[in-house]
Amino acid sequence: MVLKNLKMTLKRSMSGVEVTRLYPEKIMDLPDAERGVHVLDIRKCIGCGACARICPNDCIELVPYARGNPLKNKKQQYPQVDYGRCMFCGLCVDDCPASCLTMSKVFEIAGWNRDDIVYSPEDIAVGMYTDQELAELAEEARKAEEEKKRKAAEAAKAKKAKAAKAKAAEEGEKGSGEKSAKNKAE
Amino acid sequence: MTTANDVLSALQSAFPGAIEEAKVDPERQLWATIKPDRIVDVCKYLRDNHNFDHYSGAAGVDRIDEGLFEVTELLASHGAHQVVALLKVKTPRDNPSVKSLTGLYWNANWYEREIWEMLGINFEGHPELYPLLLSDELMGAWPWRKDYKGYPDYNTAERAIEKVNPEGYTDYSFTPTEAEIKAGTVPFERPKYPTFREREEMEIKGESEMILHMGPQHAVVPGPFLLDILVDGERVKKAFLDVGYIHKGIEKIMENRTYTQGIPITDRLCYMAALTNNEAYCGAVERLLGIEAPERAQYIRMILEELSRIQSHFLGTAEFLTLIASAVYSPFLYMIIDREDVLSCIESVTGARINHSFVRFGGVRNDLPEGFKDMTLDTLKMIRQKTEEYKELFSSDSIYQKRMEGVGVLSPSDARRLGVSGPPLRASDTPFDMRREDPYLLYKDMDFEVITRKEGDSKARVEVRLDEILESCYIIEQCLDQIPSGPIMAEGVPKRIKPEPGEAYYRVEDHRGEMGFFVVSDGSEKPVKVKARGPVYAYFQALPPLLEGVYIADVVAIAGSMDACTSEVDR
Repeated sequence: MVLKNLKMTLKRSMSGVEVTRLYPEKIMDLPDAERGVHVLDIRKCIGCGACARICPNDCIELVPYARGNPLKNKKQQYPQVDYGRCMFCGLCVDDCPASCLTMSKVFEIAGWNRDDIVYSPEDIAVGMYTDQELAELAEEARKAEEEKKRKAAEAAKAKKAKAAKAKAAEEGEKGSGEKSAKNKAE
Repeated sequence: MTTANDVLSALQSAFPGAIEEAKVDPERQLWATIKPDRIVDVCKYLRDNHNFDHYSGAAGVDRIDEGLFEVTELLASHGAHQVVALLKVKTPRDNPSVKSLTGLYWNANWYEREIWEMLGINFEGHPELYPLLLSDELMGAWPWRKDYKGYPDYNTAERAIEKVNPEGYTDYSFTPTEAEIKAGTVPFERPKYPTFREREEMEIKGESEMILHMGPQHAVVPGPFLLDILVDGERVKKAFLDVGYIHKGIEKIMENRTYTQGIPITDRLCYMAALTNNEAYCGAVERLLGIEAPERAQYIRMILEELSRIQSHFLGTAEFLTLIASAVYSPFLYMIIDREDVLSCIESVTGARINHSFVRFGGVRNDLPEGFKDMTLDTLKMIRQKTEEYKELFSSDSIYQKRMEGVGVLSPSDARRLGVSGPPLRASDTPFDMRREDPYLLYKDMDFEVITRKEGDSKARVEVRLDEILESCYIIEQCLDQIPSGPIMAEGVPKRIKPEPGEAYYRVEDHRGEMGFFVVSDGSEKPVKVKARGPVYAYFQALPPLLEGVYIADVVAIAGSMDACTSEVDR
């Protein structure tokens, strides 16, 4: 009996199963399905807040973000995740209608302060706009704005002109009426 | 075979007028509202004439709009038929009182105590209405009632008043402020009962007897709970259990979350059984919604739940080995190493090693990744080989045999009476398995054996677990062969889950036994009531009678062979 057990122990020790990992240097292979730190595709996000609503721990908050797409609504907000509360359940990812929120394999997020593990949209974003793109988009936005303004101005002008014409016509009628009255009196 | 309709017609003819409304929905589940004064007679009739010998639990629901409390008793049978009877009793909200079933079913004791302390429903004829999970300060506040306003924050110690009691211990008390009394957050009248300590000291009869404390923090208990044994010499005369040290109020939390947000919370009942807890909860809500998961999703659920069963049994056996003697520490580590491979298989699908939050209403979260089949088959081959080795090791080790044989014997009739389920019940020669008894998912198509043992001792319980690992391997192989391609989410699952008003009960075979979820909906986004009927709650309740008359050294061997989880008991 003893020999048998000893044999088993020896067999286990010789089997070469890797038990201890040199952790910081060597990280185990994580599957693609791994639920780690979020990844936000900033170009796809529509700022609907579905992730914040479904979150059971209230760890997602929508905050303004300066480097968002200037073509979109300027008041659009993006999710910020507080990893002090997050339990990595993945409900936010499932509920995202634009499929812009995913989870990565990153799990080493320890920090010295509570604020260190509050990840702003900038920390979790991918596909962020470069400065050049932002400038171009801003230019586009400016142009669009100008176009809009110009159109508005034109429309206003046209409206004004129309109004003036109508007024003039009215005045003219009135004027002619007065004139005729004057004429009559004369 | 008895069907639910047969039971219903028999009840209606035996008790004309006592059954107010009744329905059979779905097949095998009988829902009936019984007049409060006839409930004991009806249950006695069902137990004696229709084999309803398994008391599965009770759930209390606060129907504040109707001014009523409802107590739903869940009755089932140990294999004679597959009908579950859910008998409802209504009682007015002011001065609520229901007749106790403790005279019929021994294990109704704890379920009724819990409803009493949480909702304030008095159980007439209950032998010991003492608090079970709640602390003494909360007694009388009735926290599960819908009009419960919350308890004042006593976490800041500034308000604590120190007082030295006659025995020399320092007690801390909190005097409620005027505002708190006005707001009604502080209970005025507390029920009178002897404390846990007074109750156990009442039992000391002679000079030679003393009380030995094991826990709440003790190396041999799987979580914080107090096991006090009254010993006379080296024999245990009586055992007392005090639970509730990690009461989290999960059921109340789930009432304040939407249905979807409840899924991650069910993981936290017990992280070892996260997938089956998900399954039980999602199954109950799917019944409410009237949807069914597509075939592929059901296969994925089965594969993962069986993998989860393997890892849980490995850890359960490993922990047990460390409990009986710290000398057998190497098998513990061996099993942990083997378990890691199983966890890697689960992780490759769910994305988490524990606390999976994987099952969704009407499907699953992810599809199986590429290469999953090969990886799992390799792992299963390894598991099979290792499990055979462990079995051989245990059966050839004479020290282990002498330590385990005939220790904590649970006879079949006792096991049924005490209400245990899962491996401890199957080790007592009762083939009671939800996968056969109340087939959920596609288990009815699977070929597997329900493992039983005749002895009913600690050794048999461990053997059942090891054999179930092999059986699970077999089920997974069948699933991997048969799994069809197709969608993993049912069509027409609404984005906002709002089930029709109604109730549903769904039970699955947890790694430890019968796990059931009772969900009540009122048509809104949040459930009115979620009741988790866990298997370990029943194990713990059965511990004191099981420990009577054993040696002190065997207490650990018996309690450890149950593979308990305090987190699930306290919820």
